[in-house]
Amino acid sequence: MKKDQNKPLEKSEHIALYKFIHNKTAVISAVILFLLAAVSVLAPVLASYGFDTTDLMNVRKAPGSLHILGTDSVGRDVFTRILYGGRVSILVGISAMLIQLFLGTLLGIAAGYYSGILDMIFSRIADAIMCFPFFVIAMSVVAVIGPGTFKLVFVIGFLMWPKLFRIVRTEVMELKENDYIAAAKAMGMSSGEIMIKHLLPNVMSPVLVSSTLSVAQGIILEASLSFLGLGVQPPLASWGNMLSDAQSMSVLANNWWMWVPPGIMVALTVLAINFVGEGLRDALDPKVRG
Amino acid sequence: MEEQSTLLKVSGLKKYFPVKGTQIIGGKRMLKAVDDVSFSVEKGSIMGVIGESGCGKSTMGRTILKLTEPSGGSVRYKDKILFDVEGRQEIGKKELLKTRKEIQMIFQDSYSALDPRQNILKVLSEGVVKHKVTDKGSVKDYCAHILSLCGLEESALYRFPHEFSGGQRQRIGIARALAVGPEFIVCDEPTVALDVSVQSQILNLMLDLKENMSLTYLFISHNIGVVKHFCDKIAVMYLGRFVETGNAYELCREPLHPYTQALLSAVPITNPWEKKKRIYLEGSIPEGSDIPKGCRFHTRCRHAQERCRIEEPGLSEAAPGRFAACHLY
Repeated sequence: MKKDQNKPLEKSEHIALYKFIHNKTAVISAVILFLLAAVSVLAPVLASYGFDTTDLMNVRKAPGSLHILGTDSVGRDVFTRILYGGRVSILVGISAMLIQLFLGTLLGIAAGYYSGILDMIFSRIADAIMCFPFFVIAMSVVAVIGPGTFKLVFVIGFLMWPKLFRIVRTEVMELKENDYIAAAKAMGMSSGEIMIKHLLPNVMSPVLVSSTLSVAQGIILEASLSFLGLGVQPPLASWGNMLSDAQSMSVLANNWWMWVPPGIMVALTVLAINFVGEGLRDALDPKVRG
Repeated sequence: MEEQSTLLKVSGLKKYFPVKGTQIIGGKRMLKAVDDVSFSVEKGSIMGVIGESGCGKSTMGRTILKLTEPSGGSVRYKDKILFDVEGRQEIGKKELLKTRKEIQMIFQDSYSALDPRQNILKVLSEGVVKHKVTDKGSVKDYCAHILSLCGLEESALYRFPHEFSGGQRQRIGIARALAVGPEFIVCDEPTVALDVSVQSQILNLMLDLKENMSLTYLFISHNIGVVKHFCDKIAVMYLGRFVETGNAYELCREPLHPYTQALLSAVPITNPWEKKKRIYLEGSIPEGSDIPKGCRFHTRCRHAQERCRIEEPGLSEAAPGRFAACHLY
């Protein structure tokens, strides 16, 4: 009892944690994600080859004792490239998510809180971005600025933020009608303080869920663009540009080890992130019982 | 002498909301939530405002506090003009912040009035820190002290709003308003969401606090029974305008305006042998965007005459200290 008094406990957060822990799919997915991240980070330690070390004597070699997952068209070790590719894919997914998080939350809160002309400007920009198919703009932009990992991050980040923006905006429009916002105003709080202290914490749970899912989406988009040759450029490895080897019919038919492993990694990571995202959503939603 | 004791003076206050989907001809239609309201509140008194749902009571309270932009009129607090729309005057930001400390508000819905993500210490300390009511080291003790004044224990500081009952939450709302040391509090139906026994606890608490901290209240309610005993002066509001004002006791004993008469006749009486004639009002309150011409009450008034349909009566002194907006007087 005494302990409770001194220690600030956020009960709702505890319930959320409890609910998440009891969601088996989400926990297993979280463990898988953790392992993937750990393995990717430790790539230089775990891999016995460099990601760009070519072995021209062993080109398109099937998996064996020397190369666990075989080698690709220029004799690079596929297993090593999977590990290094994970770094790139996860990095791209997370960085693109951070851009979306920043833009979507900032503009969403401002638009929802101030409404009026500011809301109209931001909403129209968001609509304009959303009404084009992603790949059409992405490919045009890459065609102009050229391909590259960091450019890819920016393209994904700047084209995907409207989704989060809309979630935050609607949420804020509803939240700002609450009397605690009026109370904060009556207390003399400035608009900035109200947005940071009251609105931001209250939109955090939908934002958290949406951001998790946008990491998965970022990974898929990275893979797709790299597959088309517009993303991460060789010799740098990414799951997407490894898959692009499968554009050749003979590789597709005869060298399964070159495209099945990166495909599985993309599917596994994206599925795991989506399960974690769904687990978070259920855990943070008080209407869903754990 | 008289002028000095006036704490708040509201004159010609208006708040109109534009109605969406307005007709093309005739320009924008306006919903007149508060339409030309004037009154003053003396220091240390309790002014009650009553009226049925949707008559503009709450909007009036919020407009006085500048929580929504006023459409017209002026509000003066002590010697400061908070705003004067016609005179194009507005209080400066710094001055407004100072005044915010002196005027506080207690809200109707205690659930939406507290941020679900903040524990009570944060709720209370927000204003305390902002206005530097006490030095930084003693904020916690100060908040605990304020809580105890409102009948809550110190352990409540680290709990969250959803862990409290409605009555407790309302106490927290009162504590938050008191924490910055205000002189004037706008109470927007603070007891409406509570059951009767808790209502009286909260009202007694508010009375005690008023005595101890020499507060002034503007008490907005739709419960005449409460207002009658709680307030010194009452104003009856109908469709955004005051139809009768006067001393609480006299107004309840002998209501002048037909609307007030009808309202009072609807108050249940506890004495089963006492018989009272109930005046039934027909129809419902008209839309604020479609206020009847002439006297705004004539569509539901028992005494409506030809004159009431054409000419709008202003508040005039019907008896010493009693004002009514009715052609009967």
